[in-house]
Amino acid sequence: MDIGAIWDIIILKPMINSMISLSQVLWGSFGLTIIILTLIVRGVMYPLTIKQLRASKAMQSLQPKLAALQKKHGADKEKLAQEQMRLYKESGVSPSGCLLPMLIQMPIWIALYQAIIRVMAVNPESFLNLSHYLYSWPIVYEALPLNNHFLWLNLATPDYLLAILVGLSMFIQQKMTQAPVTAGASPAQSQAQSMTVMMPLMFTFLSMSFPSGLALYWVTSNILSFVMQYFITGWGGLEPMKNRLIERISGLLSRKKFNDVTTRVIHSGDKTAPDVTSGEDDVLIGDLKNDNGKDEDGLAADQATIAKKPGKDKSKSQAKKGKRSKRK
Amino acid sequence: MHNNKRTLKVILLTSLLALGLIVSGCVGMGTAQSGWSGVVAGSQSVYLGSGAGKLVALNSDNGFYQWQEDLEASAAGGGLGCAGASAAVVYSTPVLYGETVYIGDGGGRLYAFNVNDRQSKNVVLNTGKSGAIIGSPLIAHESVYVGSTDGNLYAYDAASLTYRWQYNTGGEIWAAPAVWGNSIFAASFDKKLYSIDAESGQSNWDEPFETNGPIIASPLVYGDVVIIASLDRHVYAVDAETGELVWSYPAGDNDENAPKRWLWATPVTGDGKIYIPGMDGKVYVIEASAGGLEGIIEIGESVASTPVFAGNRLVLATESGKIYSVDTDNYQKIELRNIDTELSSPLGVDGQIVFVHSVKGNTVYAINGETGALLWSTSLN
Repeated sequence: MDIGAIWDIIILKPMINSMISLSQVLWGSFGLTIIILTLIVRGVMYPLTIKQLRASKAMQSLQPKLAALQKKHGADKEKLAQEQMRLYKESGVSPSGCLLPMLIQMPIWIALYQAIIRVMAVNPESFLNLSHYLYSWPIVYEALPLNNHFLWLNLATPDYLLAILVGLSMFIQQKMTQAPVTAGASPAQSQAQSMTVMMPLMFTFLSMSFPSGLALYWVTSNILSFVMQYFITGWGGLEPMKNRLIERISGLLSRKKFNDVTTRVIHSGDKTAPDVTSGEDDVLIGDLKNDNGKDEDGLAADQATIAKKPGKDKSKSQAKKGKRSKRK
Repeated sequence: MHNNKRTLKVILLTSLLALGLIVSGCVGMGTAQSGWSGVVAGSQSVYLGSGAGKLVALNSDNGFYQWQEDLEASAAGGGLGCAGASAAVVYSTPVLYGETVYIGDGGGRLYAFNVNDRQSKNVVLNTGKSGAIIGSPLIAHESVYVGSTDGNLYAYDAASLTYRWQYNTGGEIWAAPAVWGNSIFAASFDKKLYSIDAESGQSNWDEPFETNGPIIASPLVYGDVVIIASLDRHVYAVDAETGELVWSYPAGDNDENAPKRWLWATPVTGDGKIYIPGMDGKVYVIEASAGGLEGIIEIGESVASTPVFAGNRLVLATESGKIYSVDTDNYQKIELRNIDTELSSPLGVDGQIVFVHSVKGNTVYAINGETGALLWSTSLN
């Protein structure tokens, strides 16, 4: 018996038959089945995932120290390796700590992926081939064929909106697994940063070619990943983006509030309206100026924001200021 | 320099990942589309739909090429070509009627070729909705009836291919329709068998006959009953007039002789018996009038191709490529030949000669159904 046959018997067939049986209690909906089975498998793997995430978090916390070592011993590879190992040992962190749980989970994810493809049976040959994976349970035979229509999707054909969701959810998930980028990031960190963009782009492109059932599985899996990630490591590398977004939203809200108040004062002559030039509303005016960025206050605020952003080079913002002053 | 190395690493890693995904995606998507058209025999020729999307005519005596015609390619698939059809794929076995060969393709186009001058007509079944023709067309009442994966059974004028009517079922139609008097039977993926009036396109029965599984095998008319093999692993005999159940095999749920896997291939009849090949490697022999089990022929491997009778011997092919001949008196089988490639196309027959189309092997074989002697084989390159 070759390894493929063993794989089929031990992992793939149970997965396929569970999927088909589960669909029977989910009104024959293949879309719901994909979502629920992904949830179940995620649940079963939860202890391993937690272990992996914690190990990953511990590795993240070492990044500044590793970067410092890189800076200090960058030229001497041997010394660098020794120091890194010493650091791992002292901190009680194993570099393979996040790799091992991931390796154990990998076959299950591959099996789930293969099971979805086989059950989806996008062409007649695939449907014929599916017969080789079925148990002789009546529930399995009565459930087929599964209903490929879910929400607006035909799960056997590609869907562009879902492809975009794959990319977006993967970007969020990838970003959250990374520590916020600091000044003097190591090459490994920079590489990870570029992968954060490359991988979601690649998966978006692939999802545009693949049946949307597979994309639905990726989206579900990514969403579950980043929810779990949030409870273990927080926003991670998404923190600066989140902060910027909150600032932008509160800025917009404040501007709306300011406009409302001004409109009331001007048009209705409301004497009870707050004084827009004092107290809390001073901030509103400041915000407006910041948004416009056309006066000195705005410039100062810009600089303050830049200074707050982690990883931004202060010298760059100084140079920016210089340039603006010259223009003036 | 350092930056270049890093960029190179990223590109390499990404390329490897992309390659892995493409390979696992395309291969894992299963099984590439190649079709499973069978062979139909004419007076001096045999006709089939090739894996390359052509209608091919071979000399039935020696297998020499007579002619071939391209069928039109269907719409392209996804960006990487991993999803959906991209070229003409032929599942439908051609049907010869007079001097015209009818065939359908995976793009939902029905063709009529004159075998003498090769003039052809074709029509797309449904321009508004994509659908493929999987089953063979049926020619009756000067019309051509054909099912589509869009769920409709269509009727066209056989001579002009002008549209007559269509009847919507609740699921894809993969099976060839069957005729009984003025009734056309269509089996559907919605697990039902429909009886439709050949002229008006209206339903003959109050309710379609319902099974517990999709029906892929074509209905078989035997006297006044229609026999259907369902993927629920049951065979049903249905009164052709009323749509009432006459018998089913197995009759109960706990029959130890019940088929264990799908009944994919279309049953065949001979000597008052019905032969039902199963994907569990057995052929179930059922007495046609009452549905009693007459015997089980152990083949040992899955059978997906529709068998044929060559003289008084039942010839069938396993999915792995073994061709067997079975004596219908004592159910003894002999292995005629091992082609050793996947076989799912229906077998064709002309007297004692059995025609086998191996789509994977891209070859047509002519075999003596009694002795197993290879008469000729033609590669369809």
